Amino acid sequence: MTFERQTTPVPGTVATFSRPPALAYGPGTGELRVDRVSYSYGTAPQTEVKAVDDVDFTIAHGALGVLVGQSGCGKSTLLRMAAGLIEPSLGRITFGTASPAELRKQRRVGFAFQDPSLLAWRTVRRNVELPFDLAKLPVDRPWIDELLGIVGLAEWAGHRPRELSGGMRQRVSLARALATKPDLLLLDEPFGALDEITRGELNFELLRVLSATRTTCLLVTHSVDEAALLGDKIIVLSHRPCAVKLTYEVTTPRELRKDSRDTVEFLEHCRAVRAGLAA
Amino acid sequence: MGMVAVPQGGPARLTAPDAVTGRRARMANPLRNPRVTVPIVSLAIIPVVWALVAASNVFGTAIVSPAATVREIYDQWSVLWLNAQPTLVATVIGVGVLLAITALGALVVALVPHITPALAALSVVIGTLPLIILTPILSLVVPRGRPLVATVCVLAGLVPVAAMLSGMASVGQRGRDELGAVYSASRLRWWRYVGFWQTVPVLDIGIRAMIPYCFVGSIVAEWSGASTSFGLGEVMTNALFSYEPPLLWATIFLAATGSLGLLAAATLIMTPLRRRAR
Repeated sequence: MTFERQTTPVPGTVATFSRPPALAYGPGTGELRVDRVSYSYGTAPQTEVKAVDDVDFTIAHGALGVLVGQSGCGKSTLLRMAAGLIEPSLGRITFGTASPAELRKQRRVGFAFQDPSLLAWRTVRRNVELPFDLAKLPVDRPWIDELLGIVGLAEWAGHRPRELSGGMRQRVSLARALATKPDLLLLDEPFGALDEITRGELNFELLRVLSATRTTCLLVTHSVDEAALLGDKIIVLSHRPCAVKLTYEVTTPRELRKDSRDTVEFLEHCRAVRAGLAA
Repeated sequence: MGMVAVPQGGPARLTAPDAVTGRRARMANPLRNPRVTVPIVSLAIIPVVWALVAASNVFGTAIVSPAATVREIYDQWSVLWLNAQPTLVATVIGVGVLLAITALGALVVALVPHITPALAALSVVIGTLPLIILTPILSLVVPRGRPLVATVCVLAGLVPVAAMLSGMASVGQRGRDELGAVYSASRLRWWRYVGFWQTVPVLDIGIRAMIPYCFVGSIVAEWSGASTSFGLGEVMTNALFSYEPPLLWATIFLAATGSLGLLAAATLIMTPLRRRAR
């Protein structure tokens, strides 16, 4: 039996979103589980550097988990393990019943890097279509059109990256990460280089897209405000080797978060995360 | 008295549309483009300096003026053209062989990216060894004439080709460990959609460097006796030993013009690719 997940269409946003059949996991099982994972660089005992130490958390299906920690603490290493780009030294990561490597081979992972790394010789549209070319998949043109509309770049589809601002490039990178309708979206500080206003706009766009597509997401950020605004679950990590210092659940519904930035509740979330970082 | 609004916040920044407009303006008027003006000015200065040195008579009759050189080319055109043809043909053959080596090398680089460090080391070795000096030995195994001149031409062009392939190997794989790995892109797919386009600037510089090397290689091969009786290098040697400075300068001028012509042809061929990859 094949499984097709049709999400509830959100008017004016993601009307045609439907994922291809999942191969290794069933409906509602898109939970990311990081199970006592450790990672060390170097193989010899003398040169071994432990980057990740016994990290354990889960991100529920369709939820957005945020990893917060100091620079160089191992957040990106954790994200690369979740993408199946590197294997944990100890422990295991699963998405539903699939390993990250299996998920990646099924082209079910989207990854937006800190640097948008767009291809200068391709237009915005062709950049968003790149995953289809690389993964040897037929291009889903209606979805690409819709995705460009979602990230507000429909009118820029024929332009080259050099004609775009930093924020627009990041939006292209986000659209590219979502192009293959991934079940797991991994974002490595994608808004790190942006100004406050653009960053805020993109934060809400991201929330809107993730809510509409019910995509499980793991985001890395330095910003406590961003973590409190976006995260359904915030995982505060210690400095190298990174270990979980605090796991914080945000219960504010996503649709209310845009107007919640000046509320006591939001400030409370931020204070809790800061306290976790300082501990 | 009216009030004037003063813009705040430091100097104006060049926005993306402004940058595009500036580039378009430079493309519309090539004389504003330093990539066009600098070579033109440089080429214009050379005959002026040449004429001044010739007029100063510091080197006696060894330096012939540009006007006398052009006159000599006009007078000896049939001889010069007869000798330029084999050199040009050998160079074109050599360039063709080197392009085939480049294409094959690019395929190897795409399929076996782990070869990059070895290729970089090899390019240093090839760049260090003066392969042209092998000409006398090669004449024992390769028939003299066009085959030997073309072989030496290929050896001369291998230096920039090896450096180019080494550069292509490292540039072409950029991002493959991340973007390519996330989508499990095969090596060939990565090369086709990303890697090759990333290498276009390296390819462009490499090919433009290779062509003059090849031309010089052909002439040096002819100096070393690789040709049977024809070739620009042969004419140079004969003009030198029979002390005919005008003919010697005429061949040098022709060789330089030929090299520039080949370079211009390579630039023209590469321009659409370069523009697309920019």
